[in-house]
Amino acid sequence: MSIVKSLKNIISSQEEHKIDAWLEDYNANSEVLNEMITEEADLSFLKDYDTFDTSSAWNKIDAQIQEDTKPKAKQFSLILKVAAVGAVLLFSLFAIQPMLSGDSASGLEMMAYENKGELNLPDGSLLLVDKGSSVEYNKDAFNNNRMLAFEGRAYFDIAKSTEGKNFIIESEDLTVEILGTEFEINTLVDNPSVIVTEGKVKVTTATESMILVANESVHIENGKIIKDTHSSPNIKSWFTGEIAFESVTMDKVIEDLQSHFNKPILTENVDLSCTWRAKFTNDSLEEILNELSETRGAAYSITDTEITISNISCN
Amino acid sequence: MELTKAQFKTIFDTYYNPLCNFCCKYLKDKGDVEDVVQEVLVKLWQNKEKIHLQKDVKFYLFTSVKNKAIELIRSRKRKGEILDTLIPEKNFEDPVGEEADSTILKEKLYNSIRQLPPKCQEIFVMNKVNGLTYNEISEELNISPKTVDNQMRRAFKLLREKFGITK
Repeated sequence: MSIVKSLKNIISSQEEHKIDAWLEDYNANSEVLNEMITEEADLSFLKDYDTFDTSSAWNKIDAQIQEDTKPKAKQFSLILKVAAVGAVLLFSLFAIQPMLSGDSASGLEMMAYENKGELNLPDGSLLLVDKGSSVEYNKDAFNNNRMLAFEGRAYFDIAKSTEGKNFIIESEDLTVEILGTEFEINTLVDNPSVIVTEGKVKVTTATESMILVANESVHIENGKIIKDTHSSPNIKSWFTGEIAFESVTMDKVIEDLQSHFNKPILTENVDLSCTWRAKFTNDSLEEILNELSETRGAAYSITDTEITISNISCN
Repeated sequence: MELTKAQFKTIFDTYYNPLCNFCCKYLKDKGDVEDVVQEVLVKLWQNKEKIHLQKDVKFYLFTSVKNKAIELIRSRKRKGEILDTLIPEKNFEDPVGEEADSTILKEKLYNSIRQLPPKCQEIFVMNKVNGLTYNEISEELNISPKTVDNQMRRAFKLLREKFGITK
């Protein structure tokens, strides 16, 4: 019996395989193979059978599908903060709804985050969203307008638009237009802020606008855009839970802790030029402050609305 | 269909070499062959959500490779780059299934033979693939016909063990 004939008999019985069964399929057929291994067998049909370089082929394929799964190009990231979630939030949602509704109201997505989470947008952009934040956009129209309404705190990693469409974030006090960047917006505090880690962002309030580039940050006070000086390595700490101080001065430590826990910190009798070196992963506010009091002799108190740290001197 | 990266890698490992060998039926140039097969695999990954398999992934891949190869021949013929080539018929139905399975069996057989110990492999290939007799092999390799016979028995034994059937 020729090989092809013997193959035909076996094969016709097992055509119905879907993806989850294919491995099993591959391991079948040992009977046919066994039949082929006889004293009389002629395996001359293997003469032309070849071996191709699979590892170099995989590298090529892998490179192509990598590009494909990642956002086109990392361009934007910002952190945006806006004040008083409850009332302001409701207000701004109503205010922004008409803009989002556009031509099809059906695709409207409204998300309120009870806990921090990630949001993948239709254009490939990624948001790391803090608890208490809300995001609204029209999922059907998103790739055309790239607009979203946002209140709260989030880290934005925005995909480059293939059609050159700018990404626009509307919030109660400000509008952020991304010209090419990575940044954070926090609208949860009294003075909303925008921190740019990569690229270029345009921030607009009712009265003025400003273009920010990488490592620049601003906060908004009474509609005015005020440039900040600091840029911290702990920019994403509130999302990752990891916060580290590499012998930085107390003023920076306090700024980062405020941002990490999204709570104002007051100081009494603290020498802000003292440095501190420490690293935390998912530690609570108390744990971090205990460490501060053990290593730096600080005292602290925590209330619902604020934290007070006192008595730090450099020795 | 649902397809994880790990599943995709296994599909690649399983089918890349047989697909290339299958594609050689249509295209002479090995570079063309690999380009076609890689393109088909990349498409499978990129369109995984859109692809609904009628049969199985094997059928999908072999059919796609065949059709892609035919497209390439057609476009080259149109441009006058090749002449007088008979263009095989595109088909979306059966015969590919048989060709696919016979190619996969060849792959398994081929791999198993390659895993034999070197001497054993050399003798087995000389006899079974190149058609030399035991005597011709013993002369060629300067060994006794008995040694050839022993090595052949060993090869049969190892291959049968490999295919999980003991006699």
